[in-house]
Amino acid sequence: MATRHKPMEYKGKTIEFPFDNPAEETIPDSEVHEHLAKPTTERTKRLKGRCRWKHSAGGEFVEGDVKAGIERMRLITEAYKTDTGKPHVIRRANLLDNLLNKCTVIVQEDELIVGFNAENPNFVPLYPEQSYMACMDYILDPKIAPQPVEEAKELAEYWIEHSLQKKCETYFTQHEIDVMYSLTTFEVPGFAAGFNSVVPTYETVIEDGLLKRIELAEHHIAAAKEVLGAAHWNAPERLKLLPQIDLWQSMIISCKAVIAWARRHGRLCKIIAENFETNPKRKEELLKMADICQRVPAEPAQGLWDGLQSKWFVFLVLHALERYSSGFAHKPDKLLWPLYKASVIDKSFQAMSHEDAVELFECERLKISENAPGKSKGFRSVFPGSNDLFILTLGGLNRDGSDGCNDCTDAILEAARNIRTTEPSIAFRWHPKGRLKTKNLVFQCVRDGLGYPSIKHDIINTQQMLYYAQFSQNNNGATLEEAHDWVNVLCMSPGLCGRRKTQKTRSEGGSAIFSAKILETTLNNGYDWSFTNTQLGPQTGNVEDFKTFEDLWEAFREQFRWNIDLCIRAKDVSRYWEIRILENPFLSAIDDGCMELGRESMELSEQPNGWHNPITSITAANSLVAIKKLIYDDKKYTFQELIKALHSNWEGYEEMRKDFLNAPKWGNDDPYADEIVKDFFEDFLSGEMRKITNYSGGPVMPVGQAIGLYMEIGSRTGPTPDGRYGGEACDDGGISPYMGTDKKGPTAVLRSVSKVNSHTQKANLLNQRLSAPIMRSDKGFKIWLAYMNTWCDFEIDHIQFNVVSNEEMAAAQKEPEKHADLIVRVAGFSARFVDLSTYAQNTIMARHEQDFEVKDFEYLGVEL
Amino acid sequence: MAAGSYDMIIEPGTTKACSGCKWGNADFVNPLKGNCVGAKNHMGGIWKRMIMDYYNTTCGKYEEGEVNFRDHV
Repeated sequence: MATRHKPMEYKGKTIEFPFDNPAEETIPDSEVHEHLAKPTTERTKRLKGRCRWKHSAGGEFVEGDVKAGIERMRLITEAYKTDTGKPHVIRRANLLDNLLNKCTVIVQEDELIVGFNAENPNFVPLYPEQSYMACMDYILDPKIAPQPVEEAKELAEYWIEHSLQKKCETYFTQHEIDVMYSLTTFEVPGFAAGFNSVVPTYETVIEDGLLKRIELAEHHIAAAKEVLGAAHWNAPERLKLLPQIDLWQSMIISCKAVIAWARRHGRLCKIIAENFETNPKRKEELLKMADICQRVPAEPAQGLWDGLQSKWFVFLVLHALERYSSGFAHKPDKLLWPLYKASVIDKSFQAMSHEDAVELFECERLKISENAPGKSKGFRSVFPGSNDLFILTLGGLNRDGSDGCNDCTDAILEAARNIRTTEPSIAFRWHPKGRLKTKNLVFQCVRDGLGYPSIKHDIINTQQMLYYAQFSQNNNGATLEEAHDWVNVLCMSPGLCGRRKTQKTRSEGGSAIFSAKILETTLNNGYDWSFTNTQLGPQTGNVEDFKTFEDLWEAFREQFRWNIDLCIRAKDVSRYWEIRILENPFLSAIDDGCMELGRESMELSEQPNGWHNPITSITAANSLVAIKKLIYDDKKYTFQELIKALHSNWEGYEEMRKDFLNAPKWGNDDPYADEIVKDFFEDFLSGEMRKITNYSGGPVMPVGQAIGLYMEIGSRTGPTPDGRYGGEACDDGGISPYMGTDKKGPTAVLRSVSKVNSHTQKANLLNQRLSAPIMRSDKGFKIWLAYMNTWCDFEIDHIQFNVVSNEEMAAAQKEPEKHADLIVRVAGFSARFVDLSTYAQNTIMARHEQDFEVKDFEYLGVEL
Repeated sequence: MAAGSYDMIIEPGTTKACSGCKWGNADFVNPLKGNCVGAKNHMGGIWKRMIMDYYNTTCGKYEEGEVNFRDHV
C-alpha cells in the first residue's frame, strides 16, 4: 500500500495529506514510477518501446548493441586527404560536404522527425580530428570497436598528427600533461577528452532559411571583391579580406551541403512512400515529411512540424557531424512560439491540435534519447544512466519584460511528463511573473520524479549576462533586451541564445576542478598518496608546521591557484588551435556576427562567458570547518594525529572519525560552518578564478556542480577530514549539502545557501530531495510553490529535486527489469536508476529526504 | 608479492596483467594506463588506484573475468 504523509496539527486544524490522484492510495511505494508514463499516442508509446537508448555506466554502454561507427571517420579522412593546399576553413567545409553527400541516410518506422548521426541507429560516430586517445579507447575495445577495426585504426592513426590534442600538448611540460591527464585535481582538458559544447543560433535557420544565408555570404564576397579591385591598392587594409572571403566561401559550401543532405532524407521518405509503405496513413505522413525535408532548412520554417525538423537537422550537424558538441542549448518556447501559433492557434500552416504538438515534442524527446556521440570512456563514466548532456531551457521573461511562458512551454512540459525519458533535461527560468499554469506543469514533472525541470533564478542570471557584456572586446556584448535571451549552455551555466553572441566552444566556459582532491594534496605537501602516488601540485609546506588556520587556507589557495591557472591555460591553448584547425563553417554561416564581420565561430567572441566548474567543494569546505573546529579552535587533535588517521582510512581512529564527522556541517543554518563555507565560495573559489582573464577578455567565474564526477573523484580521493572514508562519493553538487548531513529541514538548507552571494558566482547547483508523500498529496503544489517563492526571494541561483522513496529504489536494485521507468536526478542530468552502478544508486539513496514540519510551513507562510 | 596482496608490481610480459584482470579498467584518457577497481572500503565504496603501465603490471588479486557495469563507480 502507498504511504500517506501523517496528519499534522497546523494553525488549529488537523491537516490530512490524501494523494492528489486517489488511485495512488492502492499503489505500493515500491512501484509508483511504473504507473506514471502516459504517452500521448500509440505512436509515441511504440517509439519509446523500441528506443535505442545509449545510456552508459561505468564507462560501458548499457545496451549491448551500441558500437562505434566508422562512416564519419572514413568520409572526413577521404575529403581531408584529397584537399591539401586549400585554405583550412575551406577544407573543413569540404570535409562536411563529403560527409553529408555520401553518409547513410536513415528514416525509421513511425518517425515524424528524421535524421541520425551515424550509419546505423545503434552506432555512435567518432571524432579523430579532436582527440586521438578518445578514438583509441573505442578501437582497443572489441565490444564497441568500429568495423573493420584495422581500417579504423589506420584512420585514427592518420589523424594523430592533425588532431587538436597533438597540437595542444606541445605547450605543456610532461609534468603538466601527467597532471592534466590523471583526472585527479581537475578534469582532463577538452583537447584530450574530446568533450565540447555549443549554443547554436537556430533562430537564423528557422527565420531565414539557409538559402538566405548563402545569399548573404555571396553578397559579402561580391562586396569584398569590389573593394579588392578598387583603385589605389592598400595592402594592410585589403589583405584582411582574403581570409574573410575564404570564410564566406566555406559558409556557402557548408550550407549547400546541409540543404542537399536534408533533401536526401526527403527523397528517401518519398521512395518509401511510393514503393514500400502499405499503410495509407503512414504513406501520407511520409509524403508530408518528404515535402518538409525538401523545404527546410533551405527555406524559413512555416509551421511547427517544419520548425522541429529544421531544428533537428541543424542539431545533428552542429552536435554530431561538423564537430561533436554536447548539449541541446536553446529556448524552444521562444524559438518555436510563432510556429506553434501558426499551426495550433491560427491553423494557417500544418494545422494541428495542442495534443498533436505534444506528440511532436514527445517524438523529439525520443530522437534525443537515441542520439549519442562517441564520447571518451571518461565521459561515458561521468554521465551514468544517460546518453549525454541534453538540456533545453524554458520560461523566464521575454525581451520586453513580459512573461516568457506560453502554450508552447506547456506542450513541451506535458510531453516530458507524459513520455518519461531521461533526456532532454529541462531548465526552467523562474520569475515571479511566470504564469501559475506553467509552474504547475513544472511541479508535476518534479513531483513525478523526473528530476527536471531544474530551476534557475531568472533575474540573477539575466543580470549576469549584462555583467559579462561589459568585457566585450568589440563593445557588442548583450544589450538590456538581449540579456533576457539566455539558456543553460549545458547543465548549469547561463549563456546568451539568439542570432549571435552565443557561446561556441567549451573552451570559453566549462570543465571542472576538484576542491576535495586539491585539499587532499594540500594536506600532503602537494603529493597524491591515495590514487596516482605522484607529486601533483606545488610544494606548499607540511601541515604539521601550519600554526594558524590562515596558514592552511593560504596553502590551499596556492594549490588551487596553480591548478586553476593550468585549467584555463589549457582551455585557451585549445581555443588557439580550434581557431586554426577546428573551424566550423556551418556554425559560422548561421551566426549573424560571423556573417557580418567575416570572422569564424571559434575566433569571434562578442559576449564573454568564461567559467569553470568547482566540483567536490562541500567535501573540501566541510573538511576545513572540521579542521578549524577540532585542531585550531578546540585544539582537541593535532595535524599529526589527523594525517595518521587519514592514511589509515580512519582504522584504529574510530572515535576521532566520529568527532570529525559530527563537526558542524553545511546546510543546517549553522553560523560556524556557514561563515567558513561562505568565505570558501566567495573569497576562494570566486576570488581566485576572477583574477584570471580568458581568451574573450572577461573574468572566469565558478559554476559549482557535479555531473557524475562527484562519484568518480570520490573514488580517486582518500579519506577526508569531514569524516569521509577513502573511495566514498564526494558531495553531489555545487552548493548542495553532503549526502545525509542536512538534517535541520528544507528551509534551513535555503537559509544556509542564501548566505553565499549569488552575484559572486556564475551558478551553483543545489540538489534537494523532497518528501514523496508530501509532494504527491493534494497539497503538494501549494507547499512546493511557497517553498519556491521563498527560494526566489532568497536570490538563490538554482535548485532541483529528487522525489522518490527509498522503498522504490531498493525494489529497483533487487529487480531492475521491473523498474525501467524509475528516473532519478543525479546532478546536472537525470538518469534511469537501473542503469546506474550500485555505487551511484547508493549515493542517491543516501540523500536526505527532506520532510516538511510545522516550523517549515510557518516559515514559508503556507495556508493549508 | 604475497598472494591476495594489492601491491602492484611491474612485470614486463606478465600473463596476469591488469589489462586482462577482472578489476582492471583502461584509463579514461590514455588506454595504455589503467585504474584498478578491486579495492573497496568497508562501506562498499570503490577506492581506485592508478595503474601506470596497464599491460605490464600485476598484483596478487589478479582474477579473470569481467565486472558488470553495476560493480563499477
